[in-house]
Amino acid sequence: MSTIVSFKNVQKTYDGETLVVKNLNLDIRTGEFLTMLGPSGSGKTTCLMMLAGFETATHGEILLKGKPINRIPPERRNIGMVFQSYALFPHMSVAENLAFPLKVRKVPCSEAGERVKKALAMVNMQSFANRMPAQLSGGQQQRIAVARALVFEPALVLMDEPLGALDKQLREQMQYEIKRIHEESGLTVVYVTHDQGEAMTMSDRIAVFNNGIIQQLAPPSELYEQPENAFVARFIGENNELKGTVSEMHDHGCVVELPHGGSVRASAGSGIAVGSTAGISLRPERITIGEGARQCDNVFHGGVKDLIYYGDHLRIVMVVCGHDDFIVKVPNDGMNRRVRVGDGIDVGWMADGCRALR
Amino acid sequence: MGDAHVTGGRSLKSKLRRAERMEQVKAYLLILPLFAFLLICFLLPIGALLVKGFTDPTLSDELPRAAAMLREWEPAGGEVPDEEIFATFAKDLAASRPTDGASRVAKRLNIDQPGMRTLILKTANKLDTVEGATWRDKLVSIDSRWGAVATWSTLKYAASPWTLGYYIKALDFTRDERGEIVQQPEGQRLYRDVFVRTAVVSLSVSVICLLLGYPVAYFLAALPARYSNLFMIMVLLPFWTSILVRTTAWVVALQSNGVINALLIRLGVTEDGFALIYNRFGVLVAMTHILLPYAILSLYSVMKGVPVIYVKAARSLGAGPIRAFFQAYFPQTLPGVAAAGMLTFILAVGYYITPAIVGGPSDQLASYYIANHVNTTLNWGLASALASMLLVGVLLLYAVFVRLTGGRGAKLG
Ligand SMILES: Nc1ncnc2c1ncn2[C@@H]1O[C@H](COP(=O)(O)OP(=O)(O)OP(=O)(O)O)[C@@H](O)[C@H]1O
Ligand SMILES: [Mg+2]
Repeated sequence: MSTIVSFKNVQKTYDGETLVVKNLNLDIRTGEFLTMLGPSGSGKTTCLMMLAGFETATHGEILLKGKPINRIPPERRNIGMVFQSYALFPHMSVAENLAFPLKVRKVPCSEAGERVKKALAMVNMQSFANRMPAQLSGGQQQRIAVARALVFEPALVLMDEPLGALDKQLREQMQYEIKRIHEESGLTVVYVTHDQGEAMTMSDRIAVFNNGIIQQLAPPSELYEQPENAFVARFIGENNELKGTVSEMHDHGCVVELPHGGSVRASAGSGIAVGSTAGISLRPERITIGEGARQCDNVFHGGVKDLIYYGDHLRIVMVVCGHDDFIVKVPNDGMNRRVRVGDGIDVGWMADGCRALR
Repeated sequence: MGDAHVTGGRSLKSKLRRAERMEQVKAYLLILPLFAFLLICFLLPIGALLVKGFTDPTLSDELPRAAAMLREWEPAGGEVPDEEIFATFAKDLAASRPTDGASRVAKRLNIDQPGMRTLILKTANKLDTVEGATWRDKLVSIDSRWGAVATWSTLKYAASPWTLGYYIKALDFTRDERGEIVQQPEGQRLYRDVFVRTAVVSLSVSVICLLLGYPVAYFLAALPARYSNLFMIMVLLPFWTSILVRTTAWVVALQSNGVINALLIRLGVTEDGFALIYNRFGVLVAMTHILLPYAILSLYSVMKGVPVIYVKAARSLGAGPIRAFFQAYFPQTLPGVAAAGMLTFILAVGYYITPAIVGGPSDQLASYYIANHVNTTLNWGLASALASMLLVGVLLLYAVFVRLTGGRGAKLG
């Protein structure tokens, strides 16, 4: 698979003191949907802006299709961009907004009209061509912003939290539509979001940012199942973290001694060695309770502190191994309804369902 | 089916209108106190002044019977009035002498026809001593001008308490001796030039203010708040000194041996200095200086609300920096441009002190003449006519402005 964008040792500082982006190396593959995910202030927008040409890298270079673009102004990069605030020109109608990039590129009028129509059809907004942006709802504006970023057929589209301002239902619908457009058109999308659910469902690969460093770059399932480090484990999905010391290493994993007694068998993340401290990342849905728990590699006994009803599943907050916010997620299948607050129950999980991380 | 839909739509519309009307009523209630204040302290006096432009009570007050008869008389026949009018006029004039009415009449008529002052005062003095068979003979023997139709038509057109005379004069028309309204002879026309000049100077000033103010406002709006506050204070600094001081400062700077000319002579640009003041140049410089902050403020307030993200968006869509500015940013600042232009124009139209101090005789604007008629010639009627015409002109312009900016989008300042 060919590479469309590569960041090579890119650094960025705004004030000359702190690096907002520290030594970024990232290859974006042609046609992929890559998401930058990370807490606020971790440098995602900065990366996007450097790629779009509104910020210059303090150090290192960015290659677009193999050519360095540090000196190319934004208008000549041919990169589509969807802004968080949509940035539809308020003094132009929807059709004029869409025609703007075509007019700039001197596309003949009749062809431009055709392409505007096609772009509107792509986002199911054919009947809104003559509206002004102020007369559209947030979701509709968002679609027009996407259509405008795509109408001039760029090979690469950047989206900076495009769905941030929408309510949950609309956001899910738009996630689906953006995904559909991506699959139909075969373009490369670099997508920035806060929302890990969004990142998981839409992306081919996710780059998890923290403090200007990519903590892990992997497909969603790998990110979830095999987090590289404790930050990723904590940031992606729910997580029980048990701290301890590695006492044994073997082919399939390791054994971690917990300070409150007992040991846990787990798979080992990178950098784990005998004697090192490790945090065990354990997903709440990998835990079995009651009868089934006793067949697991790791079995513990704990008290039920709280029960939270979610409809399709139950969350049991327990005290296990000295942790008083140990969360277990069990399906609401009738069997588990018998658990009561104050009960003492067995919990268990398999060694490959948890991961010792540095 | 179709009908039901139509009536449904209509009632929906009327509901909407009713809802909007409620909102408007509430809004009007909020401005009621200010409106009452304006009405009593501003609109009523102005109204009274405007009425002055149409009233001319001197003759009908001082010479009531003669004025009434003269109103009936027709100068178009080319004949002087009959003996009865001569007699009534003489009696009224004699009766007005104790209250000094004759001199008021004299002053009033002199405005219409130079020389009338001496004629009336002379006549009033000699009324008791003059010899003659009829009043007509007596008056003509005091001054032969009483035998001319023109003298009597001057009286006739001052005889009514209501008059269009001030407006006729303010538009550079006059009445010939038969009472027809005709253009002033070429050399005596004045006010048309004054109005054209007022419009040209005001327009120039507001265009210069826009050209100079737009980049400054753009710069201020783009700056982070902690710097822009400092610059904003510098923009507002001139407001802390009076217009008079600022204008006088320009006199100091621009006069023939002033700072600027001294510098230019020192640099060898000129030998004996440029004429920078008491001409159009000085007026434009000083007025622009005074009105520029208004333009900057109203542009700034609009620009502050236009996020730079639009320029970024335009550039990401392929437009170069210049095109992005003019197509994505500039159109959104047009309401500010219109408001700033309108504001400076309206203020400039009313400017009086600045042109009076730094302008030459041919640079005085309409307000100078209005002030002159109020303070010096005491011809309040004409001052009122000139002022009303200025007001109507500005209101018309404002109406056009509101139309162009789409009615509701009009915001000044
Ligand atoms: N124009 C700027 N000038 C100075 N510092 C900036 C500027 N833009 C961003 N920063 C700083 O750089 C850091 C990274 O910002 P960035 O906008 O890239 O974060 P982000 O990951 O996009 O965050 P968010 O998820 O909140 O949008 C932040 O600490 C921010 O304060
Ligand atoms: Mg951001």
